[in-house]
Amino acid sequence: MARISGVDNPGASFATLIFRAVRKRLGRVPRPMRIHALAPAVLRGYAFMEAGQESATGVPKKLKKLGQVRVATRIGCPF
Amino acid sequence: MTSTPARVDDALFVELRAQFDETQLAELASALAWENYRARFNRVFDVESEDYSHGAFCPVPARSEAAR
Repeated sequence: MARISGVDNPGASFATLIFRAVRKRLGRVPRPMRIHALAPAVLRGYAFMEAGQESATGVPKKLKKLGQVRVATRIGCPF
Repeated sequence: MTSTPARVDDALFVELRAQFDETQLAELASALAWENYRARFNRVFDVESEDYSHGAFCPVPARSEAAR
């Protein structure tokens, strides 16, 4: 069980927009994003970085994902 | 780069440079550094798997220090 839940219904308009877009794409808002929403300025950076990472296409996506799984496993973060 | 301290030795960099141009290296390093951020952030709050992979894969186990 996560130590904190994060935000379910953000009041700020930017957070609401982000949540709506993420919910449309993934079917739900991941807990890390809900936790970032506790600090709206940080959520902005997080959202823009996620979008930037998604839009970068110079390296095969599968290779990046493989590397990211390896990183997450080494740090002990479950997928 | 995930180790503490982070280390990317010259030999590894030369190998990577043979496979990727500078733009690709920037993108690849960014992707891995970003995952470092996400994974470490999640550890603070003990975020568990939300099953986005739907059990599609088995994570690669971390090798022991002796095996590296």
